[in-house]
Amino acid sequence: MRAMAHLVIYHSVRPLGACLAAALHLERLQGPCPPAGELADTLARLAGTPDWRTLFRPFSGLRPAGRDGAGRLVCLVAPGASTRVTDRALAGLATLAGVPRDRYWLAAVPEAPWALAALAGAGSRAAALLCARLAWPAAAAAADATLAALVASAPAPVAGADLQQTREMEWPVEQR
Amino acid sequence: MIVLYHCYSANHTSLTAANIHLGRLPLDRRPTYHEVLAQPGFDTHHRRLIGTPLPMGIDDHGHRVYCWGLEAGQQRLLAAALQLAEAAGGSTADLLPVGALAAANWWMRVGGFLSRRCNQVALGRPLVAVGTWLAYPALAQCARRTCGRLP
Repeated sequence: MRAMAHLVIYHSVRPLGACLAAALHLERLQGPCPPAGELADTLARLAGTPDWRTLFRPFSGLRPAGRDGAGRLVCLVAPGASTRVTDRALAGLATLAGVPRDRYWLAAVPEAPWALAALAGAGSRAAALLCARLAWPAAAAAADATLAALVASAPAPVAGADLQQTREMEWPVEQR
Repeated sequence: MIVLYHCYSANHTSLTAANIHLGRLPLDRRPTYHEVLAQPGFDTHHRRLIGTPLPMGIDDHGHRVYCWGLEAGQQRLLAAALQLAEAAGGSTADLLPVGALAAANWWMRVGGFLSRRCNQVALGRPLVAVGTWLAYPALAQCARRTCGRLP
């Protein structure tokens, strides 16, 4: 039932793993992890800025990454909490809000060791490259598993929820 | 409305606020140490429940009250959860998330860590109960303010 989702969410503790998985899902990245020289460029491209440290800093909310070939909206979540907690919290609140479980797909991406990611976040380029090298296979596995599950089921419906509302991600939660 | 008191692990801070909201603990006086310990669910939730909204009951006005552990980065995760619910076509208008962690003190943090994370219940539970007793006025204020915001 879950495979009919038209909203796919990759989540990890820090953004790197989710970004990699989403880029692989959306076919912006392909194949195995590139060599070190190219990997630095890849990280900068993923971050969307020369400061790749943003890939190691948790962010607030849901960040859209794009639409895949079947029209599913692919989003990223990296709140800094563990993936198990994130998974339960997202699913739990969605249930309370009356969202059927088949509307969305949650895919957790394990991240590189905590200490290494912290070093990368502090600015160590070598640690960042090592993190990316370690995170790549896990992200590829998450993207492959998600795509396989989604493709194996019925084509994704696009009717129903207005997904355009995720375009602007400025939600002042404190004011709620 | 659905009221979601959230904190780190849903064992002490949000749980006590929820119990005050539901009238299981007094709003007008500080409870005894033993009343704090005897409240339902206090310092008993397992780590694997962190993240799941835990139903605590229904208040006098029919509002459903939950406590919710969100670990680190609560505001970031809360924002993501609300946006996911909206993006997937759900309604968040009836949800009222209330942060309770601001009321926590170091007694609660150290005691909670010892009891829940390190499994040293005999050592941690008395500390966290004392911390909850000390933080009670702030928790009561949180519950009172929340009740005031409800229709």
